Amino acid sequence: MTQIFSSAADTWIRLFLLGAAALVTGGTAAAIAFARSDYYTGARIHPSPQPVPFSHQHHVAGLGVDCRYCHADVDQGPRAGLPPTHTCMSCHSQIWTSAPMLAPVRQSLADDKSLTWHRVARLPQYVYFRHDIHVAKGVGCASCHGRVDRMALTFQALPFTMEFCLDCHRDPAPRLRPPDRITDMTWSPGDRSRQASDELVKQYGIRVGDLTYCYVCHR
Amino acid sequence: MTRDRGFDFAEARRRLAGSQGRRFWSSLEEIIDQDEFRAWLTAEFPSAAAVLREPERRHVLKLMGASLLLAGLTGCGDDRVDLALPYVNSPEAMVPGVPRLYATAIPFEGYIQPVLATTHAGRPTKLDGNPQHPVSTGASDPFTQAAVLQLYDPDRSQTPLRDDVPAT
Repeated sequence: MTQIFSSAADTWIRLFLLGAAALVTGGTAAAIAFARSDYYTGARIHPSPQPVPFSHQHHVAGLGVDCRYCHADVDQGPRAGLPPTHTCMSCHSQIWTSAPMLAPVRQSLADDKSLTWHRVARLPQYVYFRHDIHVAKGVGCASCHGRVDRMALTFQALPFTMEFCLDCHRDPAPRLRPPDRITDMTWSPGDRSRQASDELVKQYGIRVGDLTYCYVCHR
Repeated sequence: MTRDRGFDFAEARRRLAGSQGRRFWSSLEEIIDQDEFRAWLTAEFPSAAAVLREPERRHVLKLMGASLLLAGLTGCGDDRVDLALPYVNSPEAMVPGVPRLYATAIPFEGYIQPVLATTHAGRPTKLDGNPQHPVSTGASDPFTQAAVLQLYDPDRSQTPLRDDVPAT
């Protein structure tokens, strides 16, 4: 009786199995890496050009304008909001009144037409997120938006992945700030003791265990 | 397709009456003026002209399948590009994302129904009974619930009219 399989068949099947295993693990690893890449999360990638090259670095670090002067709704409602043209003009009707860079702002006011910005920090639609509750419970602006005071042009500093949200929702204590330090870009907890952090959790009335229920973020 | 003469309905009826068996057409121009229509179609969509000449079932299915497949591609693309258009002058006490409620009224069957209207960014989205009004005390009926759709009826006048002329 003739041999059905050649002498090399054994090697081939081993190579095939090895290749299949490599493909499955490699593919999975590649998919996970892609989902966390800056390309996919949008972090650290400069957005499309804005109508005005607005510099947070200049306005926040240089001039010391508080976040809430422009993003006034951040502690009132779900969205931080962008400033209405009138807010820009409250200063720029006095200073840099003829700067060519600010022409779109003046045009917006003259035509009564909105400035068209490209959004920088975005969450998927299936995420329920409110700014006001985070501000009210001691989460600082910089905790999610990074050091905006160092951004000449605004970009998303951190990846808004589910892991990113959950890291804090599982254990918010070390990141919480006292209420008067929410918009402070330079604040850091320093070597705050665990007791002090937990004390802050108690002060804010945060029910830590409840923060990881699905419906907290997905409604 | 532009044409300088009006459409000849009598001619179209005559041609349709004279046709035998199943005959499919996608526009009235196709029936009335076959030569001119063909010339236009060949010039505009050279690949589609052949299909019309010999409408083979498989060819049509192929095209249909391709268009269905390509329709899925509209889901792709950079959805990260999202525009934000802030107000020029923000309305008083307006917080984006927070609905505002107005106590108002809608007419139904000649009677005024007191309602509480929920609005998002100035657009009414929901009507309910006004709990503080003694007539409804918060209750509403299917007609009230459906009434908000009237505001978005495409047949509704797009602007207030006076003597058929837009007026404020």
